[in-house]
Amino acid sequence: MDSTAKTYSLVFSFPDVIVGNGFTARVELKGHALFVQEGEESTWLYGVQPGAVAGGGKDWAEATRAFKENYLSVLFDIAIEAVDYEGFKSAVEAFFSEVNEPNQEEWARALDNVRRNPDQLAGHTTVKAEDHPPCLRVSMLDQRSMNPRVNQFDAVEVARAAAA
Amino acid sequence: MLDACAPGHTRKERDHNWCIRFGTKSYPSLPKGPHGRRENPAIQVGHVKNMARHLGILDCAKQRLEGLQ
Repeated sequence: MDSTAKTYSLVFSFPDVIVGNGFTARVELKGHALFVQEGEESTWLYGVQPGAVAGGGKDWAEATRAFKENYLSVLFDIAIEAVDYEGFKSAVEAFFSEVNEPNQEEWARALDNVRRNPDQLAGHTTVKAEDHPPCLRVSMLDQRSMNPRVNQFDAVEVARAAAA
Repeated sequence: MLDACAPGHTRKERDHNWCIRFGTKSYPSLPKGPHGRRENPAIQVGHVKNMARHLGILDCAKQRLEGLQ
């Protein structure tokens, strides 16, 4: 990572409905990512867990949109390949389970940096990192589980350490 | 770069992405097609950088791709 880059620890929540071959699945993923401002017009989100996802743009809005698009494109690819719900679920779990270890170390360093310099997040809405561990829930939607409570918004938030 | 830095890797083309496997790691999100074409080439470098980190080949990749420096 460029030592001059501005880096923050993020937590995100992506609740999605994915249609596969003969099934409809709900994928609720809570993950960790790194926000890195690498230059005037180069902002990136790099996955920590799941680690194999990234998205960049000229600012926060573009980068978060590209990150979500890259994430969804993996779920779409899996949905095309999976012959049934069990195969889909298993492949999504494998994707989620892979941690990007260098990014994880950077995420922890960025969190520690915020702990030591909490003022740098003044004006930003933050959440406690320990309240947002990565987790995944994949479930099949049927006539009974399809209801409006399934509809939820994405969230991408800056994490702070407990002491900050 | 992958041939030099990740010998024995496999790559599989999917609808939206390339899926790269190397050792115990998989990188299923290397964009292709409409997701891989952007006006700003720097936008693509981040995907390669993240993949190289994930696969544990960043040092080798940096020696071969100028944009990763």
